[in-house]
Amino acid sequence: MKSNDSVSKYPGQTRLALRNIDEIDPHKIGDYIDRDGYLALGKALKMSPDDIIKTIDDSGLRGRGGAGFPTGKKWSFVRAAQGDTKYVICNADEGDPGAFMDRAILEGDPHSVLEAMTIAGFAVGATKGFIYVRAEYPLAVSNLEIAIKQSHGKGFLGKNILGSKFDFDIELRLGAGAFVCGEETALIASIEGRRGEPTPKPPFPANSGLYKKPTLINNVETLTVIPMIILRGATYFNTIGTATSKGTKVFALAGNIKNGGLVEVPMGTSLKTLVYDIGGGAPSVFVGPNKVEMKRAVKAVQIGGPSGGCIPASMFDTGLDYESVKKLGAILGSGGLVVMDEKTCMVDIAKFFIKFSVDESCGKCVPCRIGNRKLLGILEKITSGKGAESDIDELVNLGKTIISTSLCGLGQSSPNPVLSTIANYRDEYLAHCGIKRAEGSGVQGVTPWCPAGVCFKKKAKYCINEKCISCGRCAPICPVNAIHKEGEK
Amino acid sequence: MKVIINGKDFEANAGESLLAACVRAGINIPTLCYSKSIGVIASCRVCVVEVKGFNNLVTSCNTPVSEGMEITTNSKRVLDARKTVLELILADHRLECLKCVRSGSCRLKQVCEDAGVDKGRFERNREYQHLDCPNKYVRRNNDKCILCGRCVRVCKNNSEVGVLAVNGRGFDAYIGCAFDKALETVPCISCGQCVANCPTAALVEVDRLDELKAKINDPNTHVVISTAPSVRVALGDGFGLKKGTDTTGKMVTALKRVGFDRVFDLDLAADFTIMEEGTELLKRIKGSAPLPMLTSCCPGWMNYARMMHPELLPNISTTKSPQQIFGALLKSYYAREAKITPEKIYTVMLMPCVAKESEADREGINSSTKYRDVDMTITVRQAIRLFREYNIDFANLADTDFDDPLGLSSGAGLIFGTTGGVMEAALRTLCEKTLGKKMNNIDFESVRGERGLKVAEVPEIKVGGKPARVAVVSGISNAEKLIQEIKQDPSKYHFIEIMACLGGCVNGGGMPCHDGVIQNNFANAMERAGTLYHMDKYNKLRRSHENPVVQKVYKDYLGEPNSELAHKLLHTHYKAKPKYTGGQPK
Ligand SMILES: Cc1cc2nc3c(=O)[nH]c(=O)nc-3n(C[C@H](O)[C@H](O)[C@H](O)COP(=O)(O)O)c2cc1C
Ligand code: SF4
Ligand code: SF4
Ligand code: SF4
Ligand code: FES
Repeated sequence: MKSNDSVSKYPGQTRLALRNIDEIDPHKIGDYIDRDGYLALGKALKMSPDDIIKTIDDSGLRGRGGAGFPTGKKWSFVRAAQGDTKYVICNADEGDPGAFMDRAILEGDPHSVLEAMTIAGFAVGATKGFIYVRAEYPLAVSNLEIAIKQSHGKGFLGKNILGSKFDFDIELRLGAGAFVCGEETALIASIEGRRGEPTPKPPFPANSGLYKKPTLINNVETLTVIPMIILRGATYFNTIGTATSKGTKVFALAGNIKNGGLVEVPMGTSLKTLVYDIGGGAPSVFVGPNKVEMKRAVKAVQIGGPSGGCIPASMFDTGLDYESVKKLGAILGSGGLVVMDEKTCMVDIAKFFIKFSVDESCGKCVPCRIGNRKLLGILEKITSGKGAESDIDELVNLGKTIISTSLCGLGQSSPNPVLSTIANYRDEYLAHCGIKRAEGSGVQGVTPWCPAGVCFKKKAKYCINEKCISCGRCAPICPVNAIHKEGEK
Repeated sequence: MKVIINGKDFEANAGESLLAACVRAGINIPTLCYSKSIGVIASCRVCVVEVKGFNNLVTSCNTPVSEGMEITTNSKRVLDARKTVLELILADHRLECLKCVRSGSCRLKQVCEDAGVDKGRFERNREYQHLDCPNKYVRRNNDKCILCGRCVRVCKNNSEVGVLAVNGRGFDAYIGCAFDKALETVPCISCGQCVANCPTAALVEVDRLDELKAKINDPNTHVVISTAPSVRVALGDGFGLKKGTDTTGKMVTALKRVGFDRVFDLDLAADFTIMEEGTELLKRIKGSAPLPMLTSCCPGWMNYARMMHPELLPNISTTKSPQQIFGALLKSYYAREAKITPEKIYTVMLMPCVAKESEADREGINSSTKYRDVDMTITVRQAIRLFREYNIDFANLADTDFDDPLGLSSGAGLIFGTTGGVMEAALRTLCEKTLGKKMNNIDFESVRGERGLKVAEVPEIKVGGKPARVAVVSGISNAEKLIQEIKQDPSKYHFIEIMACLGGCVNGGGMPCHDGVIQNNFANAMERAGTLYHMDKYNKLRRSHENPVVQKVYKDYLGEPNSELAHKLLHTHYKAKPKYTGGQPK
């Protein structure tokens, strides 16, 4: 069965995480083995756990689930933690609505994740692994089930793996699809059968995680490259990318873009390359019965999903790595990348993402539960033309407080879309509030308007005045044929 | 370990939280969700502080200190953030502070005042809902709930049943029971711990004070009140007295001023409980009924046992609780002595407890008349409000003694108010009865103290030739663990005292809600216990069987312990109770 037809074939990519996608039949373990599958496991079992961790550490791999924490360091924490029982969890909750690389990997290359988890188990001293996968991914679930069975059959899972003394087993746990359940402590609560609510850190899962035992949690995309790093060595990986962000990253291109889908590029690749060279820029829009082509320019991208921020086209020289993106008020996150063209209203976009956070907040802590709702209220006020400049200031103030006081990463990042759009498009906010920057300094009051023409659905109509010389040029380009000669219909 | 708090060096203890260190350094950080006995929840976020090296603010209640940490508790950033968080809470809170039973003891109000909240920046986005009405004992009002999560935690961790939970999510999250059923229709044991721990009036006990006032004003009704042991060391909390102050004399004066016709001491009834329960135990040891015998005086525990462990009912002492013994005696013996028809007597019990009302209300508990033996119970919180309403300057009252003929009690009855007290009182009487002589030392230290489980061997009492083994547990969760143990080995213990609230009645669900120094709430209860032991120590009368009133009532009226009349009035039987009933959903 084919896995995913949205994996982009456009040139200019470097396929590490997606190396096997569409190259193998995920139902055939033989296909995976033919492409060096499970060789890394054999190699790892002959290495010392410390050497394995050192290799991962040297590779410079950082977590692809959002926070970008160095993977080797995380493994060493779990290895060092005291405890007779330890667990490995693969975070396959993939909550960012714009991202689907984890699904592609689980569906198209499930064995790479199983192999990585087994290596991780050996390295940190765990004998049990869980994959927390969202129930909305039925194909991923069934492909994983098949893969686990086949892996058992070949002795890659179970007792005395490949003749060693090491036992490891993997079970699936289905998530109900709440975004917050991807947060590691909420995920653990959910596996334990408790309400999927984050708990404060410390204690960190590495010391007290699942059933209060030391627990390693890694993202799917993080795990999938592990076998390759073990097999080919750290330098194979760390020679790709930037000084602090090694290897490649998969992005999910979506929104107003010609070539959407999953693309994998080296860390540090510029947004320009990604959006224009690979993505082909924003598609034209054909409007009206005459299908007039309207070329659209890319205005910005929202990167990192609802927790991320927007980066305007003027900053597309930015290389995509953890630090550079963070500097711009966004996050790399799981790699969701929504392209927006000039007809996108940034206030409206901010409202859209805040709405998502309001819906997905677990409701445990005050700033996120109530604060985001208030942000939404203020944005609604602004997009209905009732806002004032003080409301924009309140968005910033409140947004910053939500970030600095929320319990988990959801609340700590939820105002990012608001803050980054205000930082880059304050004039658009002001326009909605009926304020226009006049020449020089100072502002001037005008009727509230939406520069992108998205908000204020009931717009005043345009009309033609007595200066019209009946040239007729406007009529054919009107997308809705609203202009006609006097007396004609 | 050295840390720097607001620029000053401070010696912190390894492993303690920033909050604990700051409190020790004399810095009051506001808290809403944290409570020492409940533990870290970290939902309210008002305890934030700034720690050098962290981008975000840090909640002090859950963050442990580390070497050299630089903590700032009062920077502009911190103070503004706290204020904002509180303003967010207030935006959707039902602000009817002036007509709220918690207006004087609202933690939220206190914290807002401390944080300098002086305006409401945010608009409300919520329609107000309704009370969870059908319940008879505990009422919920989510319009005042700040979702701190304390009730959820205490209901699970102390009371084991875990019937309260967060339903829904995000802005629409709310506290409720499974499937939105009413509290009364799920296995709530009415312990009131959720009420005592709620920082606002989102959880309150049902209030019948208007009914009480009408009775007091009715010249044809003889209204008597008796006061439970732990109440006298807790009332002072409502009037600014030192924690654990003995206010027995003031309490009696105040109750008289409110207009009660008689004020009696419920500790006396505890002495009766000991006489009956002790005799029952000796009979059980001889084989009359199964061992171990479990105490029955805590109604929270009885609600739990009837719903969750009906198989244990034969092991539970048939002796009534002091409250119900007193109710029955008031409407029989006392009515006869005072020459008042029992129907005209209205019996009120001042209790540290919410579940006591469910006990008085229980079908099959009454034995004196066709009416309730105990007409009403009120909590310590309600008594405090009543005294205020009646213009009573409690702290400066002169002392009054309890009324005769039911006002004299022993130190044994007094220590019923704390975990281990019932056991110790029983052992005093049982040991001396078995030995046939007075003992010099009647302090049973091994069953005292705040530990959840205490066990002891009692060489004076023999079971099958060997010393009797006794156990004392408080907190239903601790009790559940013990129950699992005795299921494995039924002969492990012979006599077990069980209290639903951790620490016993001194930490009861009807006690004053924990005030400003949240981090010390359990310590408050232990202060109260300390006073009770102190009062017992200096009491001339320390053994239930030596109480002359007890002796007189047996001689004149009941005959002897476990007599036929005693059985009719002072004993009861228990029926299993369904866990879920078909009450209407919210
Ligand atoms: C609200 C929220 C949602 C998250 N969702 C996911 C997710 O869907 N998948 C994921 O791998 N990590 C998610 N994370 C990050 C995890 O908490 C965790 O950091 C990650 O799984 C660690 O793996 P890594 O080190 O390999 O990135 C989420 C974090 C937050 C705060
Ligand atoms: S930040 Fe939001 S999602 Fe995270 S714990 Fe708080 S309410 Fe829940
Ligand atoms: S009264 Fe006790 S059992 Fe009932 S909800 Fe409150 S804490 Fe739980
Ligand atoms: S009902 Fe009270 S204790 Fe429970 S969450 Fe609400 S405010 Fe907190
Ligand atoms: S978060 Fe610390 S007291 Fe509530």
